[in-house]
Amino acid sequence: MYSLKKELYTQRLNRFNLAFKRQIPDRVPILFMSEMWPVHHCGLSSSDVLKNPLLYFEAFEKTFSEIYVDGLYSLGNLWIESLFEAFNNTGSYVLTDGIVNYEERNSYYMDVSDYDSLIKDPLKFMLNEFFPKKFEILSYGDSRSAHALNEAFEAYHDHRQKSIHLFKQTENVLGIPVLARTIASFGPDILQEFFRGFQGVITDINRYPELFLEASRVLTSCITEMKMKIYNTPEDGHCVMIPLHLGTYLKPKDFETFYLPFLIQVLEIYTRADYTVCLFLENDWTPYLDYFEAFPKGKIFGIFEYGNLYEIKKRVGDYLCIGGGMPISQLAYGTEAQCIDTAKRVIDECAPGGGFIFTTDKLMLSLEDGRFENIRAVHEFVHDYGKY
Amino acid sequence: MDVLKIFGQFMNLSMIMENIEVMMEEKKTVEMLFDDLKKSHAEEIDEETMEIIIAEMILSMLF
Repeated sequence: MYSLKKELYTQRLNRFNLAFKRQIPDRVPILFMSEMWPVHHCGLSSSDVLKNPLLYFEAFEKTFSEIYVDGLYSLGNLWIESLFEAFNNTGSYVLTDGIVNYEERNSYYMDVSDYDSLIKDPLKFMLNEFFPKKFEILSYGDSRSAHALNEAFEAYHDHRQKSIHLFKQTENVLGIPVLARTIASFGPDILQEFFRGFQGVITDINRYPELFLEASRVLTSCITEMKMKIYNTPEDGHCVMIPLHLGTYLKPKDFETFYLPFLIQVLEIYTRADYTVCLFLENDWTPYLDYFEAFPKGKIFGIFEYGNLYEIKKRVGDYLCIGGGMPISQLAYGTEAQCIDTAKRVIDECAPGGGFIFTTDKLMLSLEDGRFENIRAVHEFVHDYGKY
Repeated sequence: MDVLKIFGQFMNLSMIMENIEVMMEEKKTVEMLFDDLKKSHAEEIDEETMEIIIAEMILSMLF
């Protein structure tokens, strides 16, 4: 690593790490949350980038020579198109208009009668029952299946090598930390997202609560164990990213029974092992803030999509580092002056006392999610005004 | 014309043979297919790394 970039990288990483510990860094860290925004900004094709993640580097190099950032949320390439191509299926995602969009399809492959098998052995269920339904070619169990699995493996391996290289390049050459080392989840969200779909889990909670609870318990343990095998060494300034989906769609009583215990369980497992956890709190968590008192002590960072961030920090700032504040709707449609006014108010209200990271309220997926001039102006302003 | 007919019959026969071969293969579970995959890459990738890659791949297949 070039010495200047190395110094910058270390400064930035320390900035995040102190904020994660709810301490006061030298300045408010600026986190850039996007998937394809830099790709579109540099005129690259999303489709090409999905095929070859190394192309992201070109986008990062140009974008972040123009816009100041302290770190990236992730590399933005979770869905591996080539892996699914080998199975003749796009999984739950599809690339439309240059954006990777979620399409709920998993609920087609698991029904209530499958719960017993999932509970008995979640990994065996995934491999031997769920995947053959999701990927027809794997149901044959013959050389056609073996060939497809081998092709998928080659595609995954190639993508993995390129992603590792991209991580290193981004951190070592550009001096920009990439915070998320892995993306994790836990029982209720896994059931909703990957197995039963939204309608399925809501039905199950009402009609088969014991099955839902037991499946959530075994899935939380199984997936967390796999994640900790994959990302086996916690690192300062980096985190396990956990997006929270189902929780706020449940009524408070159901939230307490069917969601909170598993959220606490997964936070305890990771923080006890000294991992930093980044929660992306989708939807409005204001009615659920009192429950945060039960969070374990440890490095937890929460990015809030909705709600009054000042109130949120006042109420739960002792339990986790707070992130968010900049609405992408304003970055997209507001003037530079309006955006800077918002950024100033956010810093004035949320930065005192530390434990705060400046970022957008949502991921920027397309170029329309934020005007370049506004983002550049806001980041320059926060970099300067956010000094402690 | 006769040559074409013979060629056509041969092609059909060879397709039938291929299908019979596939039908006679032992039907494997995905777990068994993953085990075969691990064995086939044992020389290039060490066991621990392979376990990690397979775990990552399985989780990616959920998406």
